Amino acid sequence: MFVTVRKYSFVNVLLRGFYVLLYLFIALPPGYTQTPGFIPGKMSNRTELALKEIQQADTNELSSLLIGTATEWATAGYLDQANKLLENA
Amino acid sequence: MWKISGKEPKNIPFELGTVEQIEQYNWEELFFPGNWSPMFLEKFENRPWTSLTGHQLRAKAIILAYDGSSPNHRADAVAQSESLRALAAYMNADTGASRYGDLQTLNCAAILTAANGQKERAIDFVRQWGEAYKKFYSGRYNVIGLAKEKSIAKILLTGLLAPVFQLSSTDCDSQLTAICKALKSRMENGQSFAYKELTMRQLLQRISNTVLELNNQTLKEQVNIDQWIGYLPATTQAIAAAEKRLGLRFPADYREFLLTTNGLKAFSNTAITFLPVEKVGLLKDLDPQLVESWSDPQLFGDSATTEAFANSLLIGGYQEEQQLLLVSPYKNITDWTCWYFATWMPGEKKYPALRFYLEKELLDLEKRPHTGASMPISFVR
Repeated sequence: MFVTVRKYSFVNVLLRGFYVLLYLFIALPPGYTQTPGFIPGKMSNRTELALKEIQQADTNELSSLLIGTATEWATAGYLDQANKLLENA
Repeated sequence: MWKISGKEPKNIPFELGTVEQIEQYNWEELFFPGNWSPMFLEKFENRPWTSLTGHQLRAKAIILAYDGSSPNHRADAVAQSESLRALAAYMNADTGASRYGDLQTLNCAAILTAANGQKERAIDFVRQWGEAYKKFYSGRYNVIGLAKEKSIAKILLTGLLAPVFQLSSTDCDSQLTAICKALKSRMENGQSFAYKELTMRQLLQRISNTVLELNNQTLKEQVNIDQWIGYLPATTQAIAAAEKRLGLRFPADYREFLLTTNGLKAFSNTAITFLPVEKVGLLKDLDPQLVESWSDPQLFGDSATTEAFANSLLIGGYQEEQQLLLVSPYKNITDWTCWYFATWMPGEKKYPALRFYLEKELLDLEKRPHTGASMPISFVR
């Protein structure tokens, strides 16, 4: 009952394609395609959360948030804006 | 970055060391063997790195670059090169190591490659660090330590990570305006609720929904089939009975909480399991050991606070690593406050009210990247 498939037959190519898809489906972890944090659209969400945090934070948390945000901007190369944030804080 | 670019802000809101001090401190923080426990180290200290895998290989690789007998504790170029080879072997094997550990590994690899004149590889490691930060640590600023080395700071100043973070100059400008406005309001009006538009029920429902969105099976299991992380509400009779038993009247937001759910499951690794009202009690009765260990008035600064602490209500975290207390008015504080205690944290974290605690927890949940994906398998190209 074995089916012999020639090396480059149409069925062979189809089967290989199916295996690749199956592998990708199994191998990629859930959430693989998600890139939370800085993805477009999510950025505004982060800003919104940061603003919420400012509302409810005590002074220690405020310092941490502002210095942390400035560090994040500087790490991305935006040192001027990071400095402005620190000066305004 | 300030020193290299010559752009120092007018006010630096913290004590700043010299560049040499910062670099040395960073080196110790990343490479010092004493950062690992002696029991862990002795398992592989005298074995060649080629015979190791996983965490042991990672630790061995990092330690190879450290030489306590040299003036700046950096090993010679040969040893650093060996360290890099070992790091590459670790990173090329998908070991399922901790994510925090992998950020450290990438940081070490970037520093070592930059120090050994391999700029292109250093750039690659920095980029991978940015991807990992974006994916797992976005908004957890305490893990940002890349710029503590001059060679890496120079790379960062080129804006290498801006596209990785998908952050633009315009984004920063608009956020700067919004943050300054929010700060002004915060300083003028004091702390306020961030989710004030939500009722207690809606707030707890949002916590439940957010837990479900996280890719964390352990936490998800806390949420029941009705997508609710709590229980049925407490009855007014049960609340009245508890108040009578304890000889006090609960603060309004705690009553509202109980009338929404009689207890709550822990919804994060550091969150609290809230007790049902029938089991709520005074801290001095439920956890006399904790009261005893804080009985020295010097720890809280005065005896009134110590007494308020002992007489506080333990509403959650009974026999857990963290506890949640409601502290009745004391000294010049006229309302009930909510204190969060944890064995792993020095002192208490005070919230003006229970609702502030719940909102802070929700905010932290919403800030989490909603993915449980593991780190990319291949780090080294």
